[in-house]
Amino acid sequence: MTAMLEVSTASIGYGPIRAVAEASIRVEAGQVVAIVGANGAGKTTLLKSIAGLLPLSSGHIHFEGRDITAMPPHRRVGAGIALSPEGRQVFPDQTVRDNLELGAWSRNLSSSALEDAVEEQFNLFPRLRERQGQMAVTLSGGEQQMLAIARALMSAPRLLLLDEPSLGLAPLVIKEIFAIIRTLRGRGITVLLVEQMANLALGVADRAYVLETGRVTLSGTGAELLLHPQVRAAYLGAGH
Amino acid sequence: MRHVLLAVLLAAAAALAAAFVTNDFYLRILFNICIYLLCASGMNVLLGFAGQKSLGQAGLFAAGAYGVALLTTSWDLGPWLALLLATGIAAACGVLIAAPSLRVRGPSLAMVTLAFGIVVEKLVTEASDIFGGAMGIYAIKPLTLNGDPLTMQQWVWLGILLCLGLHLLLRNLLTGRFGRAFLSLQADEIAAAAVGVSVHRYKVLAFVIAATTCGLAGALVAQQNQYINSDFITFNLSIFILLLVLFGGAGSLAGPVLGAVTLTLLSALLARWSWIEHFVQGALLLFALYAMPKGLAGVLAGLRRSGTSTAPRKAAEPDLQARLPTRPDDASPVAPLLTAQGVSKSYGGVRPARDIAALLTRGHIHALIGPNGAGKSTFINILSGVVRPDDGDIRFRDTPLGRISPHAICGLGVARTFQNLRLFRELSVQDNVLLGQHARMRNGFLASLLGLPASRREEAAARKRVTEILRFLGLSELAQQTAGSLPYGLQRRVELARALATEPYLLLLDEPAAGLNPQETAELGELLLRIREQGVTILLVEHHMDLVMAISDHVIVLDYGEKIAEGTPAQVQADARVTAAYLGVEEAPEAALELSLAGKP
Amino acid sequence: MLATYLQALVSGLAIGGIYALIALSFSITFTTTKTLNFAQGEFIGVGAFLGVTILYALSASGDAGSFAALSPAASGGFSYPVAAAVVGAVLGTLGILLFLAAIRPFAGKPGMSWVMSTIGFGIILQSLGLAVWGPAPVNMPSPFGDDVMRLGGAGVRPQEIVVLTVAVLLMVALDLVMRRTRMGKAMRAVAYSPQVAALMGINVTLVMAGAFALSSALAGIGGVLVAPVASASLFMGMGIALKAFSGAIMGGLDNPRGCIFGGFALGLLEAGVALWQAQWREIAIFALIILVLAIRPNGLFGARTLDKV
Repeated sequence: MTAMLEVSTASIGYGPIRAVAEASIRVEAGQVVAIVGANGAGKTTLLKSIAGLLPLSSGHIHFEGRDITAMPPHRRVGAGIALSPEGRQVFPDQTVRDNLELGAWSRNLSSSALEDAVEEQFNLFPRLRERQGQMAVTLSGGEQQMLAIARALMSAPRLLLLDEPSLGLAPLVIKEIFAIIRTLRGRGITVLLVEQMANLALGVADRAYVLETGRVTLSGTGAELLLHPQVRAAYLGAGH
Repeated sequence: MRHVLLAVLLAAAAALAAAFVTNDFYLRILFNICIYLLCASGMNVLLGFAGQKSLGQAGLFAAGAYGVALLTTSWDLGPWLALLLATGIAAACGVLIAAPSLRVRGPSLAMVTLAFGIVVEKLVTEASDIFGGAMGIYAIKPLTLNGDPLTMQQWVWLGILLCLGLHLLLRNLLTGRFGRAFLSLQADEIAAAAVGVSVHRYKVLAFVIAATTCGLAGALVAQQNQYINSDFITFNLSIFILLLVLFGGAGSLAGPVLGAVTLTLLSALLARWSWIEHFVQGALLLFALYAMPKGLAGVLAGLRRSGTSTAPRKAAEPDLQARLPTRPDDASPVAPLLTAQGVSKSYGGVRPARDIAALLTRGHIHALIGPNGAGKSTFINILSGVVRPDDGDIRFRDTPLGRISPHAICGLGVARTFQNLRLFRELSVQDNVLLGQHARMRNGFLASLLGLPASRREEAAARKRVTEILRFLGLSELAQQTAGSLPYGLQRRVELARALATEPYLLLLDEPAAGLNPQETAELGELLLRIREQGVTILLVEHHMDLVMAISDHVIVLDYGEKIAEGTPAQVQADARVTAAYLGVEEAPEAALELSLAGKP
Repeated sequence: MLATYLQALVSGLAIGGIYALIALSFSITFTTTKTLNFAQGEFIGVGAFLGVTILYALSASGDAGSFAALSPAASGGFSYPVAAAVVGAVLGTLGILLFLAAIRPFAGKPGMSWVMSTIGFGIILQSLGLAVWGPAPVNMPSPFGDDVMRLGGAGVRPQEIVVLTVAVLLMVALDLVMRRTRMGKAMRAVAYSPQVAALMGINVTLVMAGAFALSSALAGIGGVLVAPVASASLFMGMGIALKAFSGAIMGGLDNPRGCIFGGFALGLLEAGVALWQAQWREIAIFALIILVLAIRPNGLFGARTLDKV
């Protein structure tokens, strides 16, 4: 069976820097897949190039059987891939509702269909309904993260990419976000998640990959990797 | 020496040619070439070297021209004295235009210089009682030789002489530490300040040099014509001066000559049809930007180089016998090198530093670790003066750091490298490291300009020290390579070499192992240990735990801007708070237990 | 005395309206692309001349007068608005050409070469204009006649009212578009981050080209609006663009409303200084700009920019 997403020996560089070296990732439909690793390991770089924001220097990306390696980012959204970027990056000078409506840009919806789509997100994230008229910059970190995820979901993606959702958030809020990720999996949305907090990500993932200095060094189920000593070593150093 | 000979020969040839030309029209063209060469030489320093896009040079030209006009008519001074003073006036105006330019960036800088040019243009047009407006000022005293005004031929010879002199003086300046400092401004101002270049001072200097040469040119034109009016001072003149440098080759020593000769001749050819002349100037500007970013000089250099092929050279083994140049440190070895108390910083809702206290011991390797967003880079930026803390007291070798600028902190003996690598990519490895020596060299402006022996000695001594540093790091074979062309790992080493060249007591390293593979990381560890042996204290921000644990004497852990732990590597590794900060809140207690058991032998 | 002040107020608001419009045009491209057209002045001048040409063409029958001295009838009826619209369309297209030729190849590269490439484009445009129309200024009649009206004792020209009204209407319309329409929100998204906007499915290059088209159209229309007040000349645009740019910088280039404020403020200031010493007004304005920038480099309302180290 062809995987929903297949990244084959992708290498990505900026100038002389090789951020990712020959990484291969497979995501099956309906799964939650996690990529973990220390800071600077190349996780965000890999996710950005799946979203189309960074070009590959070599290798391929296939989505639902199509080669999307050369596809520009604004067309990948239409193809069914949406990214909630690192640091949330909600449009600060626009309202919560405006942010959500922009998320559906690629779908060209009629105003009633757009309204329905926004309502759907409010049902999933009731906190956002309360704040729908507020400027996005006034939201707390956790609420902005919810907004970023909801905004990505507005494009009705089949694959949702989440870049470091726990970044800068308080532990309680992080728990909430990860509960939402579980809910999404329950609704049949495939999720590819990049996280520095390995325990959290591995706890929710069906399958996971460990990235160290741009290379995939380990892969397995979430449960397997949760117990694997190399994961801990990848963060805190070997030999302790 | 060869360059000097070539320049003198060229000048002599031009002078000889002028001797045989009797037609005033052609002599005038030669004179104009000299005038524009004067403008272009100065503008090359400002635009080509320091990278400041000034769109108002016509204003400086006017300062010189009207200066000499007023001094010889209203004040009745002698022509040679007036010339000297007018050039001085133009230089003073250079300071005037530089002042606002220091504070603005990007399009606003272009705007400020443009506005300056327009203000001067309007001033000379409107204030007709002083400047004569469109009528202009007549009876400007021409320069005289033995009491007679100079003939056209003599004007040309004077022009050639001045151009030659200026060229040689600027060459002295630009091939030494001043030239490198200007280039560093263009490449990366933050990195320039970090290696001890006073960004403001050098920007002003570049503006003054450009103003002086344009002013001199303006004064000569006024005296040769014995007349000046506001028609001479237009925006088109400012653009033409810009084009001279861009087309000839910004940042090259031959560029101004090539630009001045070709564009003046072209102008003379097309002068009859004014709209064609402007069209060609616009087209040449675009052409230079698209196809010849390095100007004619770049094209010629490319032709010469295509004959020889240079195979990329490899790095050598570091020389274990090499010694780093260091400053004497007569303080007691037990006194702390740096103490920080209550350092805090907040940006809006984010607080990357909350009441941080730290003590750095001489001769130790300290590490600063913590998850992404913990505030490690902010702390380094505060110590190196790039960011001003809201609160806190930092003392380095008993000197409070307070509100000192980055280049002054470098002068005190704190050097740094950057997380995202800030090399001067277009410069050679050697020039990058020589810039590290910038603040340690003692030759001043005048000494450098005149090429005095003291200046040459400083340069030679600095080069010797740089050679030693390159040997220490195994970079000797790569000294002449362009820094930006090296593989990533070697670029990191060059940045390290540059920091070491500032002869620091304390070396701040911001993620030096980022992007390095395990072997390169291990080599870096060796290098840092050897640097410590030479007496340099190190504070290292890192994510590569193996490196940190292997070489550090002392580790500080930050999370959400606060210090949560410190101690030896072993102590920190065993600290539960540190584990939680990195790996996250434990989801399942059994998994956590398994994890901690798995690590034990 | 009051009449003089009133007159200054009206002409200050009128010319301020143009400055505000052009300042806004700078802000539109600066927010979306972080670049702007340093040849906006040439676009204004060409717009004015093109307007005169269209008016001349439209009234080809007998009572038009010569090209250099159009009769007032030439601007009658729908001719003037049609001319403005056509100029807007033509210059909008020119703006797209500018984006492709002078901005896109250099945007994002260090060194700000786009400043010089747009200047170069402008020089070429101006020289072509000189070849076609010549350097002499040309008269454009106002659609409401050039007779001075008396308003409370002040002498006011109808065109000044036209300029102010149209400028304000355009700016209000643009403000609404930016805030309420899908396209406007998309442009603001691109202004915040082209990368994140692309993640929404927005074709960022198209939006940027559109921003330049809009900005250049506004410049052209500005030229058509201001030409009946001062005569149309290929060199008129530079001063207007420079002052508008100053107003934009004072208000903060990344703040559209600030730019509008800056433009009006500058217009009123200029009219005020003209009351006192007419010949010094340009110098006073520019000296003021330099001073403001020296104290507040990002303008009065602009956001402070931080370098990431």
